[in-house]
Amino acid sequence: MRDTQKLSFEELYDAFTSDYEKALGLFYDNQKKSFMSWARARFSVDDDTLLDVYQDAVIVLYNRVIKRNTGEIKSSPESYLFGIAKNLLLKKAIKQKKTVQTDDVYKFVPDVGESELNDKHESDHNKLRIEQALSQLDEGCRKILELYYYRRYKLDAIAEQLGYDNTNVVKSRKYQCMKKLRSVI
Amino acid sequence: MSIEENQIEDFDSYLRGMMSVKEEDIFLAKLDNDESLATEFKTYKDIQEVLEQNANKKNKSFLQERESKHTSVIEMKPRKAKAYKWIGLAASLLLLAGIFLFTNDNQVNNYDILYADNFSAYPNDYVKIDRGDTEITELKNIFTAYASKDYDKVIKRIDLYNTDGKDLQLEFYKANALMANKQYAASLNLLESLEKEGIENLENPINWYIALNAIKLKDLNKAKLYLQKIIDGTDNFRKKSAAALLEKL
Repeated sequence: MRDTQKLSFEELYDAFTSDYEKALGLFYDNQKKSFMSWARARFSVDDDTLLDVYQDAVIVLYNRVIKRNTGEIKSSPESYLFGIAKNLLLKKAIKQKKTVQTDDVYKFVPDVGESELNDKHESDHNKLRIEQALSQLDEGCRKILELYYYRRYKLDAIAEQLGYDNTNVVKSRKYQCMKKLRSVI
Repeated sequence: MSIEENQIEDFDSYLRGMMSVKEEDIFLAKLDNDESLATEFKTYKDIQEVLEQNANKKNKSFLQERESKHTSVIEMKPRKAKAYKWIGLAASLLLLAGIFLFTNDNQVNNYDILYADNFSAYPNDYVKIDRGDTEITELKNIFTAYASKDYDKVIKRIDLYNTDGKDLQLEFYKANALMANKQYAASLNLLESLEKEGIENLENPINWYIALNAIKLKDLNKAKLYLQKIIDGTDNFRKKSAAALLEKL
């Protein structure tokens, strides 16, 4: 794998969807030093907070890249990462400054209809059932579903990582796992 | 291909943006006209969201763990030069010694980082169905501990369960738990004995973990030998990673 320091979004996508631990780790390491000097010069925040925000920013960027949600971004991945971190730091600062009086809390309650509340409740309930069903699958199944559906690995990359003989085996295993999950849900 | 399989393929293609505009229109029209399909698709999307939530927690702890490993790396700062000649000579000697130590330290850290970049415990693919109830419960206990990274418990329970060590596949998971528990030499011994015994479908995973243990123990010749075995083998497991790692070594 190439050094992730100067990769484009497209190249990052390839790296993240082939071996995410290695690519994510390298990307994190490569940008950290310049991020820390940049952030220390602009925000009076302790290093632990900066690192925490930096980690969150890397994860936000990772999610956008693997979902191919970067088409409209004009800047480089590094500048975009700093932009995310800047927004997160500003949000954090605003949150800390805001002192809300108890009475004022009600002013912030959004006007949500009963049916919307019911939908939300149902969706949360569904997700809880999915969460429970996932915990009943074996680790191999959970891994294959995570790599395919969340980390957007191609079948051959999953075969390489998990040691399956070919993509057909991965495809049929993925199908069996999904079927099993559906039956448990 | 069954109807269910077809349905999953359609959902995958749509969600991964692999459909043409025409295919997408047909798919969306189907969703509009078929309530059960729409419900199924909603569940499918919820599954992805739950997987994402879980994986995001994993991403965060992965980066936190990486950070804590890096903070232990010793940083050496340059020393100021002295004016006096004799002090200059002593300083030069010190500098040479410093360079030697710095290079060695860096080398050690490089191996540690290479190891950390490449090690993740082998996923649990251990499925046994012809066992008595008690045994199934014990196996479940072992792999529940494995999934929650309680490797001390995994090692103890495997030792109690597989007393004669005859279940080689289970011993392979023990070797993984030993590695995750930083008991590299013990893991290496166990893996080498498993390699001699030979376990079908686990040849490359065994070679891979032997190589990683060897990197951690700074036995580069052994690491290279086993990485080459993976590259030359017929199994696909970690072939590309082995080639990349071999290049770095």
